[in-house]
Amino acid sequence: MSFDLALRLTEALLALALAQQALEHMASPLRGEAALFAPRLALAAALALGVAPGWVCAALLAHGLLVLRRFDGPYNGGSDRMTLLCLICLTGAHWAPEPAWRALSLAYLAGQLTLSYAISGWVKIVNPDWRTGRALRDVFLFSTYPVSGNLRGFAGRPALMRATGWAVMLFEILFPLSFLHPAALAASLVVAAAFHLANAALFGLNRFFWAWLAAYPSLLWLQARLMG
Amino acid sequence: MNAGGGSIAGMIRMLALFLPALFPSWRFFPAVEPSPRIEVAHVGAGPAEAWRAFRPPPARLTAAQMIARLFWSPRRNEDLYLASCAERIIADGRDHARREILKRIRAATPEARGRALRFRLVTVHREGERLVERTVYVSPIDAPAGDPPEPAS
Repeated sequence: MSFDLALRLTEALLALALAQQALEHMASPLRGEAALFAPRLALAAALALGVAPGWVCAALLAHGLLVLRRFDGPYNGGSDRMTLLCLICLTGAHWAPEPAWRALSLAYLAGQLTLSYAISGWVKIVNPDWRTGRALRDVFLFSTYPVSGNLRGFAGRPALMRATGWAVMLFEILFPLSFLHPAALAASLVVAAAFHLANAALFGLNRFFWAWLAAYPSLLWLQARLMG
Repeated sequence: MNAGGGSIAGMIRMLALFLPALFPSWRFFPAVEPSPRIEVAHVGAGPAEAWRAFRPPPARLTAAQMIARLFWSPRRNEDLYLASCAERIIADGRDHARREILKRIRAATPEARGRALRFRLVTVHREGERLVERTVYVSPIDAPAGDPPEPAS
């Protein structure tokens, strides 16, 4: 995958994520929320169409900081952070003075994407509660994440929780190894997308799915550039 | 002098918000912490009203509803934001988070119009095999717009 194609795909996927977020906010009955997010929707449309992407990314980044200030932090935790990181890296990829710096900016996004899986796998695997399946049982038993009451029933299936917990930890911690081969990376990204889909369905983390998906082209490009 | 100090504090705050986006920690779910719920009670001239869970999750969702929520889930995302606000209040008593919760409770409950209300945060955690609930915060009474607010105690 070429640098230009990776950049364009990242922009298009991020535009989808940003439009989805903006539309949800604009449905709010709260005064001012629709007005705050209308510019994001317009800019996301421009980004999807490839209109002045350098300026649009910079404007979206400025808007993202304004929103961060408005909510005194992220509205949607990690997905807002990944969205902003994509915007920072895209802005750098358009505005850095040298081609090498532009490439470095997109490579930084790919590196952070890899770390996002590896680090969250590591922090789980060092915790005995995750290794025994207790932590995942607790997520279903009493955390605020399950989207419906009946999902709490999964907490009563300890063997399933232990197996699922180990599958998640091993996938996350071994994810960086997939960088060594393009087929392994493609397969890993499919599994990763399925993981985010499951999180969206079970825990309502739909914005994570779109935000992480937007970062995938950067990793495919970096793999081809360094290992191809 | 104050304006200058305020703008420097604002820039530092902005930097503190921005840096975690540039250098994210990605430490998702290292441990399952006590989980906060929001409960609301309207306050009036009559007897005190019982606390009620604010927007408890539905008992069941169909597969089609779960898939649809991949594209459209404003209420669920607001619930996640409210959970973050609750955690911010528990962590450092942030007034912004308190105001956000009140504003969103009022917007979501038409029966709250014209009535004073308060909310509390109840955490749930596990001790051995037992689930333990603990009230960790009770907000001041929020008077409806136009009425004087309850003085801070």
